Amino acid sequence: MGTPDGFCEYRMRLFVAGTERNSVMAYNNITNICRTHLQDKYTLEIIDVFKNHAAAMAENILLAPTLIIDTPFRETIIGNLENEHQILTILGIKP
Amino acid sequence: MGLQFLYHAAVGGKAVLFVSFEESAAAVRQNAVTVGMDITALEQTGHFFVWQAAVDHTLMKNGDFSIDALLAIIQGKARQLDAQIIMIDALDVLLRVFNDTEQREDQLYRLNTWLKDQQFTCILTTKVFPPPKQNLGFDVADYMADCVIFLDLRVRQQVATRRIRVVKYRGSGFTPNEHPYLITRQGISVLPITSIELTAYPPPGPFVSTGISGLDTALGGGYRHGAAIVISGDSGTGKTTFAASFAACCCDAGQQVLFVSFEESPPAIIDSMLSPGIDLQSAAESGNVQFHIALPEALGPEEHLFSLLQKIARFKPEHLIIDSISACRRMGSDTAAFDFLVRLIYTCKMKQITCLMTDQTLSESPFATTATAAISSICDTMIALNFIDTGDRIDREMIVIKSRGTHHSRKHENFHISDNGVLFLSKTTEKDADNGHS
Repeated sequence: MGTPDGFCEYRMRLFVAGTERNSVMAYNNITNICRTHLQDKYTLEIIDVFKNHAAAMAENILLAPTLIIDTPFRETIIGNLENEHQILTILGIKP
Repeated sequence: MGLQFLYHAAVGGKAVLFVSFEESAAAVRQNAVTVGMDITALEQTGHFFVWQAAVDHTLMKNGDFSIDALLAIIQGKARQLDAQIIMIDALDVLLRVFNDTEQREDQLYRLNTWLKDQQFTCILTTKVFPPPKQNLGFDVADYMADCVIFLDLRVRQQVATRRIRVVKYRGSGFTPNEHPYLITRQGISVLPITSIELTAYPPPGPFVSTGISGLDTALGGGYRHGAAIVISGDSGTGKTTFAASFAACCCDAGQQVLFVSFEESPPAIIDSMLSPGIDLQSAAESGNVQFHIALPEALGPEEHLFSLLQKIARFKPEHLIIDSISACRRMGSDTAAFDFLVRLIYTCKMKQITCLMTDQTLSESPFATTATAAISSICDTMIALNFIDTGDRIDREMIVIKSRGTHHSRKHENFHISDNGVLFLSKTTEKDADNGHS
C-alpha cells in the first residue's frame, strides 16, 4: 500500500482495535478510498492499539477506530469512515 | 474518595493506574497532597501511574466508533505496571463524545464485560445531575457495577454537609443509610452515627468533685467520671461558673480538662471567672486546662466534630466542658446540633471522658431548648439553675432533675455566687429523707 519511497502527498495512520467491527470497516473503507483516489501518492500505517498501546497513548487515542491524517494537513477523524464523501472532502479531492 | 482507595492500595505495595479525564496529572498530584497523600513518591517506585486522557470534543466523526482504544491503553499500561486496580475518573467526559444514550450504554456494557474479562478492580466516577438533565446513560452502570456509592453535597441553612450512601454492594451486609463525611488533611473521614454500639461503652466511673461542696452533697458525692452532664439555666444563672468550678477543681487534682467554648475567648472566660474567685489562669498555664474555641457558624457539624475529636485525641483530657450546647444549633439546624452532640457524647462515654455541657434556656421551663430535650435521654445528670424573685432581690436556686447512679437531692437548693465560688445556703446530707434516685 502506497509508495515505499519518494514523494508522498497523503500520509495517514489508522488506529484500529484488533478485529472489532468498526475497525475492520474503517480499514476496508480507507484502503478502498486510497486505491481508488490516491493511487500511489499515499502511505497508510495501520496500528493495532491492542498490540501497541504506547503509540495510542502518545497520540491520546481513546476511541477506535481513529484516522490521523498527517499530511497534507493534520486532521483526526473518528469512526468507521462509512462516509467516503467526507473523507474525500477533507483530503481536498472532492469539494 | 477513589484516590484515597488507590493510594492506600499503592502504599500497600499494589500497583495502581489512575485515568483522569478531567484533571491533569499535575492537578491530581496536587489534590492528593492537600489531603495528605504523596503520589509522586509512589510514582517513582512504579506503584502509581497517573494518566491524563484528554478528550478532544472537536474531533470529526465519520460513522460508529467505540472506547476500545481506551481499553487497549489501560490494558497495555496495566500489564506493564502489573496493576490490578484501576480508577477511571469522570468517564462521563469521554462518553459525551457519543451522541445518544443507547451508544453510551453500549460502551458501558463493553467496559463492564472487558473489566470482568481482565479481572480488574475498577473504580469509576461520574457526575450525576438531578432530573430532568440527562445522566449520559449511567443509570445502567448502577445495574452493572458490583458496588455503587453515591456522594452528595447539600447546603442547608448556609451549612454544607457532604453525605455518602452505599446504594448497592453485592455480597455485603452494608448499611443503606446516609452518612456524613469530611474531606480533611488526612483524607476522607466518614462518621456514621448509626454505627455506635450502645452496648459497647462502660458505665460511669467513680465520683469526681464538682468543685462546689454543696453540689457534691446534693448529687450524693459529685459527678460520675465519664458521665454526661447538662447544666441548664437562663443567662446569668451561673452555668459557666458551675462549669469553671469543676474545671478548676479537676486541675487542682492534676486532671486534664478541655474547655470548649462556642461563645467566648479564653482570656474572656478566664477574666470573667476571676470575680467569683475561680482561678483558671494558673490551670491554663499549667496546661491542665486547654481551650478549644470554635464559632458554630464557621463549620458544619461534621467539621466541628472532627476537629474536636482530633483535639481530644491529642490532648487526652479526662473531662470535657462545652459552653454552651445551645450554640450548637448555629451549626445549621437543630438536626445538625443533635448529630454533633449525640456523636460527641457517645465518643466521650466510650473514652470515659466526663462531658459537662451548659445549655441556655430561653423560657420559664427548664430544658426547653431543643438541644437538651433531644439528648436528655443519653445524659446521666441534669441540673437546672433558676432565678427566684424574693420580692426585694433576685436569688438563685438549683434543682437536680436527674442524676443516674447517685443518691441526689430533690429539693430546690438555694445558692449564691460569692467571691469564693458557688456557695449553697442549705446543706443537704446523704441521710436526707428527700433524697431521690434515678
